[in-house]
Amino acid sequence: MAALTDLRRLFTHCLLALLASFVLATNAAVANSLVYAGSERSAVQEGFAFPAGKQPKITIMRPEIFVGEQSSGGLARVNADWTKAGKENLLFELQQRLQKAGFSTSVMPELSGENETITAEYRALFKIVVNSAIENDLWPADGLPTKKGEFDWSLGPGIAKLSEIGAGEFALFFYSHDSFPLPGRRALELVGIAKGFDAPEQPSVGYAGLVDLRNGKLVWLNVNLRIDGDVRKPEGARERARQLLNDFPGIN
Amino acid sequence: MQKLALSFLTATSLAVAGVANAHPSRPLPSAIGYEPKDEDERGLWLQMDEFERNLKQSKLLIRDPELNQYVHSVLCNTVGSDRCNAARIYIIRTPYFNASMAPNGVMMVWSGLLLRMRNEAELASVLGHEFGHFEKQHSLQSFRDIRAKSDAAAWLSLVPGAGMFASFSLLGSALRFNREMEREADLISLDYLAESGYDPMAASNIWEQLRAEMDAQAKARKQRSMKDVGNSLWSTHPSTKERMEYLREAAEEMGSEGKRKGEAEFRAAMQKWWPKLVDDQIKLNDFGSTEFLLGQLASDGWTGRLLFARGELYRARAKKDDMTKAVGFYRQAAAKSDAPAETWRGLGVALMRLGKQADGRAALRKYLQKKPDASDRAMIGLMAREK
Repeated sequence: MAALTDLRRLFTHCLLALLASFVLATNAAVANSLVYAGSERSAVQEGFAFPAGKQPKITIMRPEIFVGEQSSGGLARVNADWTKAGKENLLFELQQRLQKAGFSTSVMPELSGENETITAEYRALFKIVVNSAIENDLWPADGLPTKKGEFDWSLGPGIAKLSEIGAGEFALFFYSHDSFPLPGRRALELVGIAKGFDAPEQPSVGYAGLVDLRNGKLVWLNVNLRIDGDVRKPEGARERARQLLNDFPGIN
Repeated sequence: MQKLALSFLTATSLAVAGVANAHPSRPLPSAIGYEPKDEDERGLWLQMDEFERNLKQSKLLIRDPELNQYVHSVLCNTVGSDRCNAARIYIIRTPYFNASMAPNGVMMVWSGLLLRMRNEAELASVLGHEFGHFEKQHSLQSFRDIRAKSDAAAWLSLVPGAGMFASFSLLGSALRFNREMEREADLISLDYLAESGYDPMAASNIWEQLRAEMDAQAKARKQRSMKDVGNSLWSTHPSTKERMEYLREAAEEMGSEGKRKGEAEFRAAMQKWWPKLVDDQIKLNDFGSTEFLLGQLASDGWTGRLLFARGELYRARAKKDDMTKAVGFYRQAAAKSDAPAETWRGLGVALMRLGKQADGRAALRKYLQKKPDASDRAMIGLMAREK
């Protein structure tokens, strides 16, 4: 989870843990879920439909994006330029796709003070809810009995505050994480496979979710543990945006 | 506390790394307007900037401007007012002993560390150590070292048999490199102390003190003391004994006589926070350490607040004579002018546990009189059979 959620874990006391922590900002739960079968799943709240007769307004929340590379030894390095390009490209392409489907879109502006605190809290809460939904709903290996069969998750009605401070009726949260293997890593993978060893590549991971700000319901969630598209380039970002918005209500 | 030996000043543990300081002409990261240089450094900064963004929203931050200002001023006294502003200090409320430094200037100081400092010079030595990591770009160096060694280890792991051992030795070597950086930061800190007029012996004293605390903890738990456990090839930091010794030796050379300790200033700055930090410590259920720390805080005599805390500690442990002892401490506290209202709550509860219901209720009522807006009024009122 977000670094802050467990400060003490940040200080794990040996370099092995340090190494692990460098495997980029890998969201722990998503990383864990790599073991789950099937790499892409999505869900829509039962009976959900956008309000008829007017154009729904979707605000994209500040996303969590890291783009980096993976060394031969598996250590990830974030690349600041790639991350910046990836963020711009993805925000643009996601909006394009939503607008073509008839939505009005905006990006949540940078905030400060109390308003930033509120949005930061909801970004953190979103990650927690998504991780629960992944474990109990999308890949329910041993999910909560009460969560079986129905996609029913909420961030609580208090999230309406986001509308008061600039968001539309819906908030789109997303996460995107890439770690491109360096040539040495590729070579190691090939040699390793030939010798029967396992040097797993680190696939790109992304998820996106839409929250109805009028009641806090998570109305749609799409998680892709092996997502395509090189977000450093516009055409790659377009493909990534298409896959991120898979099964989005109202888009085919 | 067991983790102390390993974790002290793991700061860099967050985002370790560093370049072999071979560029004397390069500006230090503490220079005004410094920007990260190459891709490695910019990547680390990006991650840490994102981390800092979240950190600013943390519920665990102690935001008290006076305390923050004080810690900042000690850093400035230590490393110089021209460079200290490159570091942004965050005080985290968590009852363990640690501090850390990220490559972008984020310095985290844990409240459990503040509780264990006895004077300003000791605090200065910790802040100087962290600032040393920062100026020497240890996070960046360590990142590169780990990458190089893990690359080599990955290839070696494909070699049957010997390859695995070679990989392990590379891991050991990465850890040794980390210990060397810790030692370097320790010695840099001593130079800062010497330049700024603080007593350089303070650094060694911290470790001596910490080792004594580990002994006290172990004794209460009837275990072996952790002070010399866990020193091995796999340690991230030099052992506490080593640090205590090489720091003492170096400080003796520098001369400690007549140097500033800043005890009164430190006490004044911490006064408001001690009760809260002591309370956090009591809740750890670590009797030996807590008793040791209270004794240390009471080196100038037992105040009402400290006696109250001691009563709370004994009452919380609740072993056979503890309630009686707790009542004794609460009563001593109650006789002092600075006893907090909660003294009578503790006294009342402890007396009732001893079967002295009437006396207990009287003490509880006194608590409610002294603190009419107590948040636990309803519950204590019920126990006291208040109308």
